[in-house]
Amino acid sequence: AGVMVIDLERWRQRHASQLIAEWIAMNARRRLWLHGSQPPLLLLFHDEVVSLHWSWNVDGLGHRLNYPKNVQRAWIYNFYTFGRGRKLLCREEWNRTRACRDIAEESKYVSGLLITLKSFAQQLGPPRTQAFLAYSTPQYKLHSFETISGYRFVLTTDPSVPDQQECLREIYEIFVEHVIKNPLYQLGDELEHCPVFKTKLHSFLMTRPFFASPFQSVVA
Amino acid sequence: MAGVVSLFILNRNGSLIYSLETQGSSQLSSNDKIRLSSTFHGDDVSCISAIAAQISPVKRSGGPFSFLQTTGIRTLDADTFRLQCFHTATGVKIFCVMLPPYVDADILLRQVYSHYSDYVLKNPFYELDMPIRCEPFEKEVQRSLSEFQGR
Repeated sequence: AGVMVIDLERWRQRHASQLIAEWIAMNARRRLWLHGSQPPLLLLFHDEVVSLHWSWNVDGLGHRLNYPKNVQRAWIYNFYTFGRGRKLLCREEWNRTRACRDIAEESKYVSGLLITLKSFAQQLGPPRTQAFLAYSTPQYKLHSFETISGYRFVLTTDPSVPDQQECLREIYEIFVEHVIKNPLYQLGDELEHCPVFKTKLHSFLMTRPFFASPFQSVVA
Repeated sequence: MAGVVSLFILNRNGSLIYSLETQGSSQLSSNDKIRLSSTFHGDDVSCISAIAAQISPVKRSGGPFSFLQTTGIRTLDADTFRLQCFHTATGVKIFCVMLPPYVDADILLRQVYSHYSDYVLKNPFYELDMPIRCEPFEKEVQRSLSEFQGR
């Protein structure tokens, strides 16, 4: 069983019930799809949906709690995007227990630390070491993904969270799709003209098993 | 042959007091080793471990004996190697560089710490925080390292 949350105001504005009825009528005349109610919804809304966190799906109405135990504890704390020249383009935060007093100072520390770590890794490690990937302390773990063009995507999480290079790579693809290809966006700006990027980022991160926190989005 | 390729020990001030490299490592000069080790350590702000503690998003958990839980980087992953560090309660740091396939070197680092306490600290001629030049210690570390590699 799945869970779907609908914004009824927008549903009515879009005359969605009527349109879905038309799709169903079309399907009755000539077979367009095989399975029930999902296809007309997909046809109508296709990419205007946001994924919900897995814990919305209270399968068994709460009496059956067979979620993987380790998923309960894992957390995500921060996400940063740095552009060329150590400039902070995007900063998101969740679940921090230690508040950040000064964002500019923190971003200087983080970007400086990444540069130091990269050169440290290249000198200490075997030749042909390209990149530093992650470090962990007893309190948190920091994952970093750097593109050839100089953008850095950084994630801080609980130390138990495994390697997130793939996740950061997918975030980079979302970034290219919604920020770089955005005609209103100038390279080097902060990401105000790209609210879609933030929405997509949030909905992508919510599908990650370590994102155990109050959810923010519903069907658009 | 994969596994641990080098081992370093830093004193409380971040100075290198011992290093061991096998053939697989990158053969740094002694100047480089000293410089890199103090970059890794941090009591003052310009170093990695100190800054990592500064940007932490999580409060240090309280409770009794919380002062014994050290902050500071435990592991550091790059695309071709991993560094694993053991922080002792006295401020001495023991870290090793490993090549894939990675294993947990915690046992080795603790053994080295135990050899340090046995052969270095109990050596009446050893001055604290100075570079280690104790032959029994070096022999034992070599032995632990080859046992560890042999697993």
